Amino acid sequence: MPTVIPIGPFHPALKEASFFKLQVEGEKIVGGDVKFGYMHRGIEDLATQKTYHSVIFLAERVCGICNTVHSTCYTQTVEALMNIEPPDRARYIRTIVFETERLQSHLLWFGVGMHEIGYDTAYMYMWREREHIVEILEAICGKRVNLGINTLGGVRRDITVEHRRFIEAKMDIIEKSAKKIAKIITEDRILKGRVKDIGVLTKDDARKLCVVGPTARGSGVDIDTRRDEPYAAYPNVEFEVPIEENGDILARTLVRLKEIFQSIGIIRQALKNLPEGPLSLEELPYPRAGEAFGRVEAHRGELLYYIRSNGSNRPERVKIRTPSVVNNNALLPMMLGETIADVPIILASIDPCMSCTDRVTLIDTGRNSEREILLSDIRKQFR
Amino acid sequence: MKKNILLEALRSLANPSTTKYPKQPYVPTDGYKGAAEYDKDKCVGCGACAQECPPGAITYEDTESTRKLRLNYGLCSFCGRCEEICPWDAIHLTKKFELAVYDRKDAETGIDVPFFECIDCGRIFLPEPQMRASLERVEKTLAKYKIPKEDLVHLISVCPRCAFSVKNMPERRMFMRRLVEAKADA
Repeated sequence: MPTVIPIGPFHPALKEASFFKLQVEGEKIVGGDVKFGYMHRGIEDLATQKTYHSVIFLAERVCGICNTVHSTCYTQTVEALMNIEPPDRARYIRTIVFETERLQSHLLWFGVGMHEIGYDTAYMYMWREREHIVEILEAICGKRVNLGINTLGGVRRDITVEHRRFIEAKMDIIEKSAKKIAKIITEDRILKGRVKDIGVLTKDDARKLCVVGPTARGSGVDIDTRRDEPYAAYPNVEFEVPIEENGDILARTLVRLKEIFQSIGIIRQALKNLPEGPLSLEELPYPRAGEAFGRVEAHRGELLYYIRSNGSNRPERVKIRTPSVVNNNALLPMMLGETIADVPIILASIDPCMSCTDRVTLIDTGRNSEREILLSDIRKQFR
Repeated sequence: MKKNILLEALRSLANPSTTKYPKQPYVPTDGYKGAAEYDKDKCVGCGACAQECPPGAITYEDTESTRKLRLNYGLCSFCGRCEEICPWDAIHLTKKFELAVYDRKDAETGIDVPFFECIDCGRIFLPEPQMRASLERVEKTLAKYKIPKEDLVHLISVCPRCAFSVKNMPERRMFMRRLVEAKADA
């Protein structure tokens, strides 16, 4: 009979409310249950009560770290409904802000990951470097988070020559510190011991669980929306999609590390080729009655928006599928067979975002578990 | 190992990554989206900001003589939509970001705009500055048709209900006819 260790929903080790029920034999995890839904805010319903323009700011507030991702995906979907194309300059500015945000998200993740395994010095280093990127965002958009750069049919703020010089100078600093981070990750033996061959997600499992983003790429699944279905200025810039085959935490870390260098490259190219022209369209048509899908590659994986319109000024239905929803499914297969001490870093390794996730509740039961009370409880609750 | 620690300590001393914030005030960059404030000279009280505000932080209340526009900083998301939408360029995001207050009621800004009373029946129907500003906007067009501004003043100083009253109808129709004729001449 395995011992059951409940973690959460409110627990000092968790930054956001979620519930983990782990079944252990000694130190080894043999089963478990993951329960989300404590951060439900009813955003999808609220979106149907606001005008198309107001929902941009609402979409940004789904998640604080990846806010431009949400607003870009939403505006692209509505632009598809309106049959309009934003001007070239707007598409490039979107790409620059998008990638800058990816940099800050990945550096933040490195910090959190280091903190989870008790390497607080590196955590402070990463967050110090992240500050440079947040300064870029503040200079361009006027805010550090919830940037509000996107609007329907373009962007709201321009990148001036001074901004360009500022960003280029900061990119040199970031590249230098990213190389330092790479040195820490690849050369530190203690760090490697903590993350190598831990939390393995095989390529087969990754395909079966439909994981996305760095979690999938760390397991050797070659997917990236930026390359597969290019949007914004991605058709015009050159970049590589880093793939790692091992599927352990180190692989996912290395994927993110390589993505940092790719992002720096993309930002430099976009700044170099920034076309002249208007920032946004002057007049917007009403969206046609119908439905549209939008996909972008968020920092955590593929983000999907579905909007149904009835031709009025309010969307009839907005469905948001965030990357964390699918990635959270992979937590349990990663944890099985590992020790309790590895749970925090395994949790952190997929970069979960509970507030992103909690528009749905997902249920998973331990394979060797004899207690399935929680599953039936939830089934009863949601039937 | 010790050498690295020393190096890092010296580097941090020479080039610190934090500031002594409350003592040394933080000045945001240009274009920072801080607390929004009304421009008392420009605001006409049309309420476009209240209609568009995404989180609904701006509201207005019509009392007997004034329209009270209120912006609640507790609900504001500092998106800058009001600044973008304002037709009169009367609300601006400032660099203010230290908005903590002891009393919830203090966390707001606003503007009271006087109403204009209908010169016939005395009913309120439009903020006074808005009427004035509207008149200024049509002045150029009227000048093009050689119609003096004063001819319009009485017509737009009556509320919609009085404008269609029997007493005011002839003047209204005459004005419309003058407009049509002037347009035909042009």
